[in-house]
Amino acid sequence: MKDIKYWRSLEELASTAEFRAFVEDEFPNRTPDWNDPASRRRFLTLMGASVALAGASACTVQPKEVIVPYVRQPEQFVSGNPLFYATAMGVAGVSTGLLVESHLGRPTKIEGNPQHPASLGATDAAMQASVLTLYDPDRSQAVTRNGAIDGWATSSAR
Amino acid sequence: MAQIFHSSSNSLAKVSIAAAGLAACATLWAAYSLNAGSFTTAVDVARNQPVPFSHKHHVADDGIDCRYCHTSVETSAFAGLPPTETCMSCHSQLWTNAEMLEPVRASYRTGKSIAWTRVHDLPDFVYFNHNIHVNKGIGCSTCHGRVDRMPLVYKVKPLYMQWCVDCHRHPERQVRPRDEVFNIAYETPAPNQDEIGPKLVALYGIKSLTDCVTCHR
Repeated sequence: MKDIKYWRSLEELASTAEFRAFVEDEFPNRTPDWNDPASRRRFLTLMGASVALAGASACTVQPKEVIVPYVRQPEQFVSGNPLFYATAMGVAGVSTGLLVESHLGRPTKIEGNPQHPASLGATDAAMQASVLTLYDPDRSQAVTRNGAIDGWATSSAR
Repeated sequence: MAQIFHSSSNSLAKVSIAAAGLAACATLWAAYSLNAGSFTTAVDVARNQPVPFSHKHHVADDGIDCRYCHTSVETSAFAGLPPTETCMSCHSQLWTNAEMLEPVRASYRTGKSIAWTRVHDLPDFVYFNHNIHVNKGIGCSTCHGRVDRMPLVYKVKPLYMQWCVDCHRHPERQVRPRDEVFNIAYETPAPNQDEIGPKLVALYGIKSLTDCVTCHR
């Protein structure tokens, strides 16, 4: 039986060197795209792998955590509970009694002092927001007097 | 034209389907064992501490109540760890030259805290409050086990959510009389648990809290 040779195009029948090179290339005209490190295809590959591996990151042993108790625990302090400090804030020469909630030495919330006879526990927006001023990076880091740093002891003695 | 696949590929294909199923099961089993085992949960793994503090000695031999050191357990979410001062209230008189206690004396001298290793470490997305449990008749040993038999403390429960929820659904199975809460030898469920459990639940007004927001706030 005679060996029948099929062909799909005239180029294939002619079988030029140029055409053979074109056929052997699996992704003709696309090679620059594949080699580009920031291509969409590469992006999807990496994202797919990241998403697949993201779940595996949960499979870890909890890292070691330490508990650091006081050396000398302050009076009235109950670990885990906040402490409330009574203070006052002056606006236009009038002072309003406030309670500052403090967690491990960090003030977190300001509310009115219910025992203050004038406000009976009420506050206004400025008083509520004043807790933020305690964390203002421009706030003085030390007690100053006439622009020079002064200590608590010397300041309060004056 | 030659066949691309050899005829043995037929059996190979069938075997590989079965093998894929087995491999999936094996992976799930391995993941479950890893998750439930002490490698991940740290159950039964005694943790090293800067001072080898023995609960066995202090609780069983000396008979010190839990609340002598864990002072805030009845009033706060956190049971509390004793300040160095509490250790020194006895150890300024006892074993004053013991090598083992040097970190305690150093802490008292320098004012630098002792960094204890946390044994029971809930994830940060879980809220837990000691005082409500203690005040509603859940004993220390229900969760912490026989601490009076532990030279170095280890976990006896994995602290997994399933374990929390089991008790939140059926508090009557674990509740004990309030005056037995700090009795480390009291066992729950008690022999007469079926009888006293529902009574104590009613008496203490215990509610079965199983909302997500109870713990995940």
